[in-house]
Amino acid sequence: MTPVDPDSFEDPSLKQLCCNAWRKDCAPKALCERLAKLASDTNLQSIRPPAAFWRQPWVGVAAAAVVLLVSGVAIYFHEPAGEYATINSQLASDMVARHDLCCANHKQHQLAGIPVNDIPLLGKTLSNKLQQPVMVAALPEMGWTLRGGAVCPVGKTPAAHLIFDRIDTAQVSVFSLPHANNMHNGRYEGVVDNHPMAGFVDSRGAFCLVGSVNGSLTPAHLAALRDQMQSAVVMNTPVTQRETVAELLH
Amino acid sequence: MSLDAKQFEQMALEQTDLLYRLARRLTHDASRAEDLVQETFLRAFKARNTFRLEQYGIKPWLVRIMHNLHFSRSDREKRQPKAWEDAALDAASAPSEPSPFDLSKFDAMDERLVHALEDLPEEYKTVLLLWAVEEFSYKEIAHAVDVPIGTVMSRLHRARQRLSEQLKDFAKEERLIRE
Repeated sequence: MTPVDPDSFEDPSLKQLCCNAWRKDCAPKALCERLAKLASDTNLQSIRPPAAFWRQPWVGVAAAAVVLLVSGVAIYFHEPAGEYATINSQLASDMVARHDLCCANHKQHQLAGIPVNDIPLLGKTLSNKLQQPVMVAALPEMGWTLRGGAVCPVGKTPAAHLIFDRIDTAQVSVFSLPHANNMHNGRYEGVVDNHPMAGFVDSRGAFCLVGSVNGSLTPAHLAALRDQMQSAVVMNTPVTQRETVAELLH
Repeated sequence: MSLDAKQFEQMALEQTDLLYRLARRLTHDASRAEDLVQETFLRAFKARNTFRLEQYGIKPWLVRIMHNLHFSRSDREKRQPKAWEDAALDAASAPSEPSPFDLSKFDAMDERLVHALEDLPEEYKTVLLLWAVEEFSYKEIAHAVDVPIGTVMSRLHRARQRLSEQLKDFAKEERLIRE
């Protein structure tokens, strides 16, 4: 049996080869729809209460409409220094939901094999995985500690997601997403679903900071962090198939 | 930490692509892969009360369900051992089924590379996929496929060796190595 050094198996070329071959394999839409239905059916079977008027389908639709209306009203963006940018309100809500979910379990929020204090490697790896620019920086001078970075879905879109925290337990997520047609370049700040938010959009993509619901965090704080991080957008140059195989056989 | 049904459902459904990719590697067939993914989720949803987030997270837990389900099915269908030993994996010099991989999706990639990966034994492909594409740690892979960590690492090494051997012709043609 070949002897194995437990610390030696880090092979970027093999990873690259597997990613090129397999990462594009995604579940068909029909399967996703069936699974979503399966989930709701299973939930209904296990927790179905007695029928009541508030369980009627039309009540659910009306409640959803009210929630959407309230969410829409809650989203406001103001215009800093003559610049104005917008992002889709659904995207903003998706980022908030992702922030809440990942921050609840940030101990598992780090790419395997990447030390959390190796910021350049983290940025390079995230950019390489997503094939898009990502915003990665350390912010110790502003009192924030990086707890981890990973690729997470925001709605249906894969995004680079960093989590920072502070001594007072406040948490900030930093998202990097690909540019989309419904985004307008510029900077933005605001509050979404009670979470402070600040970010910017440019030709490289959308970059957004979302703060936890904490009395000490405001959109202005996040805007300061955004301004600090804005120069830290990195794009890793993808290696070619030929280079990958050459490295693998080396 | 305990999750409510909605959070559990969201976290689980986010892993659909991961499970589908794994199912494709295990079953070699798109429709069987979909069946396997669906059955895995059905079991996961029914067993959600047994899931504890702190241990390894939801990904290894779901992979473990799929892995067990696939091999218990294979056991029934083919009357084969539940899991192959490494010696048997090494002895398997050729794939038992032709690879049904859709090469048209990989325009930028030489089909020989794709076939070389697809021709690896299932257990090698599983650990390669989880390690390379899904960024699992060795510990998570070991938990997910229920083998010791040393076995995970030796499978990665052996998979790499076999790929290198299979890609020698490609490398010669591309003049990456001397003949």
